[in-house]
Amino acid sequence: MGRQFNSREEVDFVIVGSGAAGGVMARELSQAGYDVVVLEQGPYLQASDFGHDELETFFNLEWMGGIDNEFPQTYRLSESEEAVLVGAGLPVLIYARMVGGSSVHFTGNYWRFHPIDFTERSLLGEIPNTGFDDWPITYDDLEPYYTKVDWEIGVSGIPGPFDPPRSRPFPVPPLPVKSSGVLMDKGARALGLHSQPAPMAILSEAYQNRPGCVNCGFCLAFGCEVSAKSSTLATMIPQAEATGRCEIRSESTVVRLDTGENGQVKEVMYLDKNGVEHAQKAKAFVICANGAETARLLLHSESSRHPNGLANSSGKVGKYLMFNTQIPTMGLFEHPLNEYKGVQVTRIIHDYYNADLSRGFYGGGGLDARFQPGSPLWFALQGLPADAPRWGKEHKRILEEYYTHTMSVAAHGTSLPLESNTISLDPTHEDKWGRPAIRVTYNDHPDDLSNLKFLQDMSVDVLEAAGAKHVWTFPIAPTTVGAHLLGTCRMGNDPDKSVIDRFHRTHDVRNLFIADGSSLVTSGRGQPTMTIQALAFRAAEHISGFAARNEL
Amino acid sequence: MQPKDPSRRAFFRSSGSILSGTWLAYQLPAILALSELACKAQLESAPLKALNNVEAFELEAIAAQIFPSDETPGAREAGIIHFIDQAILNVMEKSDEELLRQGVVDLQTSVGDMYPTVGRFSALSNERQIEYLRSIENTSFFNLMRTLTLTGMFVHPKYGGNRDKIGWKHLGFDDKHTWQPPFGYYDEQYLKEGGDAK
Repeated sequence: MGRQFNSREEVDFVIVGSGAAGGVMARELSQAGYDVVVLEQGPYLQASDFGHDELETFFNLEWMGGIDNEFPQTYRLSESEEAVLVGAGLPVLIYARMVGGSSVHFTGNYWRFHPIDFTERSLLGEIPNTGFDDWPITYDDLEPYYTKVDWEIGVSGIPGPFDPPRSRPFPVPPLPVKSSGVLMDKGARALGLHSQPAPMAILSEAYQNRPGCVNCGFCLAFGCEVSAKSSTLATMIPQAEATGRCEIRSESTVVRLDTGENGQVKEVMYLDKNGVEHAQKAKAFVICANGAETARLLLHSESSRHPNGLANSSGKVGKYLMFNTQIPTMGLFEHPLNEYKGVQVTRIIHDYYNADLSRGFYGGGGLDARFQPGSPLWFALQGLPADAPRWGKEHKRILEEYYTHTMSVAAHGTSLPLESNTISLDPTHEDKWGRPAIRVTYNDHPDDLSNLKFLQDMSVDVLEAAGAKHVWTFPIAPTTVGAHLLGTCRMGNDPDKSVIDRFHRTHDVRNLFIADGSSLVTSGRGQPTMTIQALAFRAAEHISGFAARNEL
Repeated sequence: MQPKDPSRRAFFRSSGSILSGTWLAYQLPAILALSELACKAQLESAPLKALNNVEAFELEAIAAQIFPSDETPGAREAGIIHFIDQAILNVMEKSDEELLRQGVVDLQTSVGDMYPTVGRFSALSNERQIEYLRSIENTSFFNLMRTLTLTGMFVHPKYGGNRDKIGWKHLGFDDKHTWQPPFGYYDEQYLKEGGDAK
């Protein structure tokens, strides 16, 4: 249990959000000696709250913090359409309302970005009608913080042939290879590709007072019962509380940032679980609420001084939303794989990481060996080929044959930053607190889908080369579900074209910082969390420095 | 068992969603929100509370065609009808409950028309049951029954279905919480051939 502050006293920092970025920020700033209040809209669960109940956790969306219809989202393909309320089922924006955020339920794929991700615009040239751009920082700037993630968060792995330079080895070795990984190795070898052990934010052995993974198989969408998964709930949050300078105030939904006469943020207004409004004052504010919530909060904090929303003189808040593309391809094999055991991913292929415009489109990505859909009910409802019988004796037989003998190769790809892909405030629908619903406008760039198709074809090739008896695919369709919420408060040197500077300070408001998926300028190849956390470590170091030098 | 809680009434998540996301490649299907339902698996002999006898016979016969009992147990043995009963009682949306009940009425009407001497779906021969279900397999009633049956087969047994883990055993899913490699045939071969355990 951390310290508790009176909401009327001014603390050094308020951090909004306790997920992958907010958890890092909380630990770094509190360990640096500052008083920190973290406001988290969801509950404070513990490892003992997590289990294997697929219906409750997965299908009933407990992994996202529960009932989604209290927080409606609307969706449209383009600005010319009227957004419609997203019905029951998966929301458009997938993120968890709980302490630790989506790091609690993530799969743990921890790919570093490569040097080209930061300079690709210069390398490849302009892509018309997109916001494709270089970052204001390079891989070398971020490398020390990637290493910090490896060692402070706990990442299992071993360097692979396409990996960017690293200053230290991984702290713990890769997780035990599954049959899907061995088969990916085989397929890759036959095709002249290079399969490598996957870097995963799940401990393969005991490290920093946490146990190694017990291979229970329930990572994707589930919280880890033994805290081997390196969520911020298991790592950063308790360390922040242990400083005695950090309060995690859960079930506290920030609705507005209020500025004072000097244009600085003075306090945040938030609602407790009963909807009662409170204020929290601080010297400075760090927003780590994810690429959807952060943008919504800034837009919702409009005032006479900030008519377009806070920190939005550029008009770029909420713009350039990027989801990444992803699609699994399934393969059936002769012998049992039992892929429901163990972590999702043990092997990856990065031969197609780099874009190659001679393919006729921009894009790059990676493949991984996994089992998705893998939990029993999910597989039974959606794992079989579309042309398989849907009921009856043969359906029953196929389920028995396929469940233990199937794996998938998932393809992950780039999303180009488009100004027309946005988070905005819905003019019609409200959430249970009376805030405008988040409105999502999203339509993949054609290259994003061409690239995904290319990677899907590679996935088929890998499975066939591995000896699959039967390979089946899912249709590629416009991306209407995003678990990676990127780009909506992009980093840049030009205040007219970006929201935050290279140190994560907003161009417009001196004591307001943002570090989360919204900071990304480009999408990477489909696994952004490692980079989000490296950015958070780096941002925290700069923010601590500003505070120490009285530059907030 | 808990009373119906209005905030938990998202019983059937609509399959008519606009979404077709590629992140999961497909939408989560229509599914039950049973999380507040702390009911125990029902004994085979336990009385049903929401369904009357006719409804229970007819719906169980459909479930038994969707997931038949043959050399191995099926929907009947897994207690699907108790699962459906509990779901109606506790969490099912009114509209879905009505879809089920009206479905039985319509079923009896049309079976009665086709086979006046039989009258009930559950009294038809196996072949005629299958033939009939094929004729309605694209209806919302049948799809609801299919989702309910498969959910009841593979859900955690605490919800009243998957009795004795019949469904999980059928898949080959063993619900242990700890595993050591090798997990499957191919990684076992890899280790035997001297592959690095990692």
